[in-house]
Amino acid sequence: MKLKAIFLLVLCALFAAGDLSAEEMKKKRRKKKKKRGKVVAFKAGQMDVGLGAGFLVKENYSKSDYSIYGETETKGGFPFGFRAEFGATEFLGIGVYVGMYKDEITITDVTAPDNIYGYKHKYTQICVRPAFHVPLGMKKLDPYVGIPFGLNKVKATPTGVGFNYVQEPLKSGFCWAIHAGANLYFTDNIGAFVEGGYGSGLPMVNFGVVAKF
Amino acid sequence: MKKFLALIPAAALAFTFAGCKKDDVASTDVISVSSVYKCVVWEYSATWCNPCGVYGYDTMHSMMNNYGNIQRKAVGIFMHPSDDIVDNEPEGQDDITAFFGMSGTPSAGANLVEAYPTYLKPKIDQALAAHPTATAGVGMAYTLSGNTMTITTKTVFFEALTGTYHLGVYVTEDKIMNDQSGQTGDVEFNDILRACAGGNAFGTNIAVNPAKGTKVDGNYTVTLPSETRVPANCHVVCVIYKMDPATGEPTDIINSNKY
Repeated sequence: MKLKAIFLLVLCALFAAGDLSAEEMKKKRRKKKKKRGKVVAFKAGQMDVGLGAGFLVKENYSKSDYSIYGETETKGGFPFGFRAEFGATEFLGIGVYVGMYKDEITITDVTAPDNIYGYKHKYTQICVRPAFHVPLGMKKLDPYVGIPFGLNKVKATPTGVGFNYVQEPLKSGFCWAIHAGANLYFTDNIGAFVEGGYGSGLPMVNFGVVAKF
Repeated sequence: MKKFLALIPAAALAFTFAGCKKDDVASTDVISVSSVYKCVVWEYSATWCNPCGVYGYDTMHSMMNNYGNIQRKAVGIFMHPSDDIVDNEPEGQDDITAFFGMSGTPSAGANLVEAYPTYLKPKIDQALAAHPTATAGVGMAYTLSGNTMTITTKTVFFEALTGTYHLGVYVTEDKIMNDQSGQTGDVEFNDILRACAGGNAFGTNIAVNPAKGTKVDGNYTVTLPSETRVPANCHVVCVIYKMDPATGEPTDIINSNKY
């Protein structure tokens, strides 16, 4: 009888201890989850700036417009750009993008090979750039979708001795892009970004360095 | 979930690269609407005609070499009556010689002005001076299957023009070796008219009062005559005429090209 009573007491103590440790574990998990929720790479009120290069710019002109005049050759420059973004909320950043690049199109008249002409273009893009961030609960990785859009200012200079107004020069116009990308921070403030997508007049792929304050 | 979200940028990059088309490789069949003004040099000559060899051949040969091959400012359409090179005159040739009043050989013309070959050079210079820039251009490409030539043309009006415009499409043959009365041994004949597309001396209507930037596409099928020496030596010559609708005759040559 005495042994039975002792056994039951030990059993109750074990249950109580088990219940307590389960409760503690739950508390710990909740605490950890709460703590982890606050660890994000992009926060409301933060400012980040990026400097980068890009490639794959869809020209504002269709090459076919020129191709009927002979053999066309397009030499594209290396686009580069600067962006700045302010965290309006922990999901939304409002920013600007300023980019530049150059290209040159040359037409060789196959029926008069000395007749070589074309245009040199200098493009400057001034854009608004909202970006939608995806909080992953990771301190270093900040994925986002950015949608820059704005003015593509074009300066066209005719080249070649045979230039003969066969095609109107390009005019300034609208540019846009949809980029999915990510900022990857190596330290609390410095990182790199890469983004890719589709657009017109802006690089489809960008990469560079980013700093946040 | 995190891994999935992290894949978004990678997927976007892959999409970008996949959606990027490579430029077309330029081929020798590229259509080139020329922005250079080229006048048309006409000749009416015969292999059996002694003055054509003595007064015409060397003059025309050197002129076409200078204005055509070197400066690329002239295209030639050389017509022959029945002789060793042209047995049957192409349909439409009679209308051209009649327009110029070319009753005998040798005769020649620069654009729409007739002149004896030895007096032709100033006429060519006048024709070029009258058109310092091209107001329209034409380019063409063709494929040859046996004796059938399929021709594609593109005409572009660089400026707004008034009036009625025709495009004449001709096939000429180069590098024909034959004897020429008045010359020693076999000599080379170029720009020999083999066919007028549709048998039309001055082409068919392509535009009336065209606006600046008007583009006109054309497709023509020409059967080369059996007397064509080497079909591969044939070329296409296109001429943009300004027409007088009342008479149906050309009043100016707006541009021409050879390919």
